[in-house]
Amino acid sequence: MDDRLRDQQRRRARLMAFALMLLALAIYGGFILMSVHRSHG
Amino acid sequence: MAYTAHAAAHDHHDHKPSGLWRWLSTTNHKDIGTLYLIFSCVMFFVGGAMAMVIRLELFKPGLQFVDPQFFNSMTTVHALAMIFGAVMPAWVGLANWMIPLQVGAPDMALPRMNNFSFWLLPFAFTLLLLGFFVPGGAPAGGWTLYPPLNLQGGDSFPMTIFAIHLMGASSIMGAINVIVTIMNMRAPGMSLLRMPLFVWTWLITAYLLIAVMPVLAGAVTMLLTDHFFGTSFFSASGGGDPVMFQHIFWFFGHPEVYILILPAFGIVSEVIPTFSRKPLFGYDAMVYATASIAFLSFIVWAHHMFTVGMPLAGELFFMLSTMLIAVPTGVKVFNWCATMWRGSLSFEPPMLFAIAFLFLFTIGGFSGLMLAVAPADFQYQDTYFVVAHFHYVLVPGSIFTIMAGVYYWLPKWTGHMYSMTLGKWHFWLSAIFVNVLFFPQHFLGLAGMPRRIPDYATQFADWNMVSSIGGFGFGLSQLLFPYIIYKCIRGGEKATSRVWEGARGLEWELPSPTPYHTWEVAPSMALIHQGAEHHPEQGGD
Repeated sequence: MDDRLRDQQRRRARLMAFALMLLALAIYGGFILMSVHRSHG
Repeated sequence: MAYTAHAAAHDHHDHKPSGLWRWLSTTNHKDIGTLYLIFSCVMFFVGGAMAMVIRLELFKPGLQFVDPQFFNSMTTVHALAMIFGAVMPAWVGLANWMIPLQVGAPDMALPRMNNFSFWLLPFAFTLLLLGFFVPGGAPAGGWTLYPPLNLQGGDSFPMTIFAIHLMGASSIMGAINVIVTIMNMRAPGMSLLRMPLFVWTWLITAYLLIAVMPVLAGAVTMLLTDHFFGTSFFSASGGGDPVMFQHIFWFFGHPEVYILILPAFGIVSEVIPTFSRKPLFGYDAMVYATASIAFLSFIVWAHHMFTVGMPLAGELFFMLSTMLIAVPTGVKVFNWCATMWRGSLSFEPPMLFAIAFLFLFTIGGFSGLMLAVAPADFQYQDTYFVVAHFHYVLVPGSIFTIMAGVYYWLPKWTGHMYSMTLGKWHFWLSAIFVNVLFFPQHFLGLAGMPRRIPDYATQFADWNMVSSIGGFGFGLSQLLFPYIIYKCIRGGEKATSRVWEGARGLEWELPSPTPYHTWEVAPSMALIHQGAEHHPEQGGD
């Protein structure tokens, strides 16, 4: 029972980590893109 | 003992690897927590040594020991080492150690990423510190890395940028691990509003980290391309805007301040109830206040740059939003006081550090309110008043609570009690000298002494001497800290599983020292309730 619970938890965790990683990359890229427009850099 | 024999047997079948390979390849949250804490301690003394150089140079007016360029490198690298090398890794170390124990998880959700995020740090800081040995010396333009000054740095410039990228990547991975562990790995029955406050504050901190570390990474990437690839993000001559860097930097920088302090609120919310032998007053309000502070931290950034010149409406907005932070912070301070009210208080080292935090962090908060007043800030900007303010927030704020946390959980980690007498000596010396060190800096700032200068007018001599004496005293007294920890690891009176009479929470249901593997069998609902609702009068073990 516990092993199944932990496996399920880990699977959900990996998915969530992937989404958060994408979010971080989007913020990184978004700020650079915004600065390109703002500064004609 | 509440931790069952079955669970203990389950834990003991796994062997612990040994030698250097154990530490390089470990995926165990306790090992990685220990690595973070050791790293943080080393960086605390590296950054502290730089602070000693600064205070030595400022002991008397005139140039005594170091040239101005090196002095500026000292202030810059001291800040980077303390923020990114000492305080943040200490919080991640405590999170690694305690979050799985407190939520009933067997480990962090992504153990291999956990190992990777730690091992990035030694490389990052080696790179940063190697800057001292390359032409042009270490970065000297201040930790805020403002262009165009910072773009005039020597060969260490790209090394610093790369080091910051590595630290950022490490922090983001650490934060992701914390979030996914808390959101997914909690034991059944451990609902969000049953979690210990340390877990709550770390969850909110982790979201802040993910939101703002990429902003810093973006800012320094643009500095790099301005320097080496001919872009003009921040160069006015090419159509760019140096003030834009300040906006971007402080959009990261202000939430960063809360990244450094929110876990401290969590520790204090654990320690004060334990040593008051009462449940925390206003648990829900504490959670909502933490979330409010985190939200407000995103809309106050320009109070760091009132003097660049901005529309009056902008100044008013940032002034008022900054002052608004005092409301949820006040809720917290009053709740901690209410927790102690009519409690059965005892003053072991963790409680002493927590109470000192309460007084001294509040002083830092009040000077923050003074700085928030835009017209007054024109007077205070870039003076020692600002230095005094943020050191009151970070030293008796963050550093004291890290020490409170270590003194609180050390017996749980090592299985031994440490010397209470030495711990109290450490506290009193720290508490006295930290005030001798930083309080006079308020006077210096109000009298107009600028920050980041190696020499000053003679009218500032007296208080600078007092401040330096406080600095040397504070620095020397910190040597007690690793000594006390070392002695505790080597031996001492055996710690019980609950350690402190008033302690509550799942971690205290485990034996001391905690086994290498814990909660492989998820704790039962009854245990979670018992852990959360333990009252001293019900008896410990």
